[in-house]
Amino acid sequence: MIFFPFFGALLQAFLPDRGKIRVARTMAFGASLISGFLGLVLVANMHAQMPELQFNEILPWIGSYAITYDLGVDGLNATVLLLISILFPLVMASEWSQKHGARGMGALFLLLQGSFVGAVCAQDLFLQFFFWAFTGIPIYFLVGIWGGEGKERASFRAIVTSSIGNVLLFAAMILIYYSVDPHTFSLRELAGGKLAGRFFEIFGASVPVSGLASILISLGLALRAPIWPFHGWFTEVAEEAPASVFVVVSSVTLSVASYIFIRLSYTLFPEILVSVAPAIVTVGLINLIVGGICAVAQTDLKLLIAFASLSQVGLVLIGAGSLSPAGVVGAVYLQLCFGLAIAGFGLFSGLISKRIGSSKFLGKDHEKLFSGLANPAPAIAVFAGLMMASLLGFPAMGGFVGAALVIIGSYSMHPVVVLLSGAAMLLTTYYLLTMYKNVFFGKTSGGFQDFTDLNLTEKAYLLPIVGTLLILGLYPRPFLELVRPTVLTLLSSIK
Amino acid sequence: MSLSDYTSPLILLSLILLFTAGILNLFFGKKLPRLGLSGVSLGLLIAIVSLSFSFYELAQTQFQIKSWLRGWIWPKEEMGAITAGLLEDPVGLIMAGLALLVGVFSLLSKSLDDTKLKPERFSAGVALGGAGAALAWISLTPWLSFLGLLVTNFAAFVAFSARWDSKEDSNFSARFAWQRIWGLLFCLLGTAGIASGKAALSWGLSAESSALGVVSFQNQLGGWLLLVGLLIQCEVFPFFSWLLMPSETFPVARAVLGQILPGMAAFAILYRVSPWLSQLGIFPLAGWIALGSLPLVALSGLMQAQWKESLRTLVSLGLIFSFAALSLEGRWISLGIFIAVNLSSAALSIWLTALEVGGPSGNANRKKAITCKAFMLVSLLGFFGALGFVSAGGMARWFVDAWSVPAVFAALAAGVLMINLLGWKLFWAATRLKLHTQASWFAVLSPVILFLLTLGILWNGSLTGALLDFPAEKVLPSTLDLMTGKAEEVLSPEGISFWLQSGLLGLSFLLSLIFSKRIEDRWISLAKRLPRFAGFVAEGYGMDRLTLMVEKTLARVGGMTYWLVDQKIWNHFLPFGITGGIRWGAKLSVAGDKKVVSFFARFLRIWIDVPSKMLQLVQNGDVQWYIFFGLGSGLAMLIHFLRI
Repeated sequence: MIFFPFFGALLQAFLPDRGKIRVARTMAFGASLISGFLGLVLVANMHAQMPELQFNEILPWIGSYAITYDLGVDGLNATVLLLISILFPLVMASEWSQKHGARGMGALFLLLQGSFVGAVCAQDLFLQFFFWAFTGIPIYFLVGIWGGEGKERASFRAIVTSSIGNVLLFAAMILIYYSVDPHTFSLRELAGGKLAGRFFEIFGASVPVSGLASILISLGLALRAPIWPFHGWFTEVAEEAPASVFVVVSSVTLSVASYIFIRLSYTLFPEILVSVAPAIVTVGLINLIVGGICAVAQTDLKLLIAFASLSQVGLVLIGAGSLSPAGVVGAVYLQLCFGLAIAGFGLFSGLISKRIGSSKFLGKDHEKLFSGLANPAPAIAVFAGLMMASLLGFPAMGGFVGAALVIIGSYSMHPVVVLLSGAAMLLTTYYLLTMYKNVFFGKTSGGFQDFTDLNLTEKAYLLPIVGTLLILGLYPRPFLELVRPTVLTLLSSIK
Repeated sequence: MSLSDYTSPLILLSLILLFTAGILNLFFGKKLPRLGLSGVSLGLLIAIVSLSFSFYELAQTQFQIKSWLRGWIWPKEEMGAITAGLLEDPVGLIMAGLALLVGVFSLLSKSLDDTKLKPERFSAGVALGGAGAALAWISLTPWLSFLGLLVTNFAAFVAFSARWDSKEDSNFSARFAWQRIWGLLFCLLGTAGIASGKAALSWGLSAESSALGVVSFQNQLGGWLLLVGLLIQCEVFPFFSWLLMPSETFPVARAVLGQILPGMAAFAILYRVSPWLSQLGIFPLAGWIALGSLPLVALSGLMQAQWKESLRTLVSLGLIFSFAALSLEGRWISLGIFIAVNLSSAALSIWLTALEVGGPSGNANRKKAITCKAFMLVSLLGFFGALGFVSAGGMARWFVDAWSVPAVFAALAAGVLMINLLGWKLFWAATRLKLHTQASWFAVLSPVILFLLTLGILWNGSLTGALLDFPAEKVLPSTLDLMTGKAEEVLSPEGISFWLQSGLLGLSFLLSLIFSKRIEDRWISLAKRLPRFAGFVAEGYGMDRLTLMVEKTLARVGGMTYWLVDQKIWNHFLPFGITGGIRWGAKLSVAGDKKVVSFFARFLRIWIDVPSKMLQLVQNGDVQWYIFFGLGSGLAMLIHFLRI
């Protein structure tokens, strides 16, 4: 699952330069598909109702520093693993017709897939950091090579921001490593409040390790998640990156970052979570509202989706900070559902850009650049509508399950926050429906009467997203039964 | 195990079939119109048969309520669980059946859509709307009811999509969608709030036996959110202005799919949730809001120049009135009113559309037009709660109850009077419509069944619709009693109520003769004389303008936030700040480096210059080397002796 994509990426380098693009593409897609399939098989074979980590792989790596190659899957990371396994093959399929540097793009996507899976499954802080920090590099090249006009600036900003985030994470990691005796990076050994009561001397003052490390980790992940107002690089990448890369950045990176945050917070710092939780909820609420307000002003599909993702991360944080079983399970579930819906939306913006040449749907003065696409492209309209339904949390779509659990879980602790979240959801309805109306309703204009509907390849990579969202909405039980026991165990360590 | 044990899965399966038929018709109906239509018709038939069978089975067990509960999102025995299930009780089964019947009759009126624009979307909408409304009524849990509500709204959206290429229709479709989704979100938010920290919500739970009826901030906030959502769904003031937006959509689709079926689904939730909300003490206030909004909405309807807008307002008034009745008077009274206003509204919309069709003059076409108008008249009487209709008994009891409190009575009388005035205006508008219609006899006569279903004898077994509650006129057992389970004390009507109702009806008729039975409606003349006021009222009391202002403000705030944070801070200040900082730091270090280097150079020069100068002097012969030697030896000796 981890090494297959790496191996596939390596293989791309040895393929001949010219004339074999099809072979290279097929091999890259095949490697991604196999890794994805293995991920699905792994999740399908997990024991429900088992809170402990499953399918453990523990090998010594750098013995002198107690660094291990330690992997494991439980309810907390199973959903994110599922997201990566489903999305990467689809994203690569969406770039099937890529002519410029297809080999390189395939290889970079594979590197990204492997490192994301590694970051999600790693149970060793160093290993997790290694994979997580590595994900910044393929993104840098993918944006920098295949991006739009401002690609250099966007990719540079992305790598600088992610590097700063990584430095903060690294600092936290080192701090944690040296504060326990014997020194260890193992999350299994550090779990259950091992850092509680440990202090760190800085300029003569005693600082609690948990507090400082959690701040560093939060800031480090906030820069990459991204959390408002640290999201500037993200909106620029949204504008410049090709749709497929944007999908990975907006859905996978966000989900993985929020997963790492939940994993580290609940595993390493359970003793301070109770006092930190209101701050997490507040940050989530700010993200939800500001993301929504900023989305209202957008005239570009990609930017609109970027702010919608920002908003959705807010809901995940509210759930994570609720410290209630339903809220946290909802947050974990939402990572998967919003990841899929945002990915679907991102691919939809790619379809529009490919056909129209731009993802802008409104002009400078908010005049329509085109409209009435529902007539020539009803399947695209239906697909976009379904993605919208999931983002809005309509019953029977995956988003409903996550959002409902987050609200039920958070309401008793933070009723006002839930009320304000409701206002933000109304905003989401407003901007999504306005976009939908502008793009799909009315007479077909803008010279796009011959706008083509979904072709077979496009249907092939969009249908699995719709299907999964419907399954997640209609029959969530198997997934929830994976997540719930782990969350209950983690919560019990807090209480 | 007998077949009766499987009635719940049977109903569910039949509704899923109907839903699937609608979806298939939506996607393939254009290519296979006949097959699509047959699928929808068969789906409706199967659903009605399965509901009837379940009702029969229920009757066999002396109407012992059956429930079928399954966990959906959380284990059903845990706190905050989201569950799904079906409730087989008389009210659910009958109302679900009625929703399907409304769907059937609106489908039969399909031929009246003279535009023939994407007709498959209308039939798909009927299937989806029928399935959704039926699901909302037979759901055991609020969550599944919300799914039903969502499906009915989606059905309307699908039907409206037939005319998305027109600007007006696309605008009103978008408004419809916003409003209904907002309503649904409020409902979901409120219910999620109520469900938080409690046992799984189901309609089977009584307010007393659970924590639902406990008056707490959490419950009340959740209850209010739910109520606001339902008020939006029922188009209470100020959420009715989308009704007034002009459109060329098939009027039956707008009335039945856009208002009646979603209204039935929303009322189902309201009906089921009413004991909890009453327990929380917030229900009467919502009722007052609904009652207070009646004259405002009705006045707006009276100011409309087109019958289509007036019809939509009337349908909405029916829903609001039923809402108010349920909140203030309870289930028995409101259910009768609700049945009458909805069935009448559906029938009225079909007859008005049939009249609009027009056609060549001829005896048959004239007869059809007259039939439409005649049935419109009697149907309106059913809507008004006149003698003999199911709504009569409920209204009579409400009047009796209100009679003792003048303020309540005044509000009720004003509301009823305004509804009646709008109804009459619609009737007179219909009489002015075309004198001939080429609509088929089938389309003209089929809604008669809807009208017949509003007769009181079918529901309360009374010839007068339980308006005059004496034993001789009770010829059949009361279905309404069966449906509501006689859960509440229902007042007996008094003679006064008959006179009050009849008086109001007579007064409204007289006033309508003065105002509406003219070549030009007096309400329209009034609007012409007071154009600004009339415009304000007719456009929904400036709500659209207010909404637009809020939209613009939001967009401006969003734009400014984006400009400040993304464009300025992230794209300008931070990069320039960081780059400038790095450059400044670099310049500083270069300058420092230069200084350090020159200092070292000077330092080195001094240390090298002194001995080298000396050596040079020695080399030149300016200084004799032996002098150095002598000096050095002397210094060495001095040091030696000093030590001693």
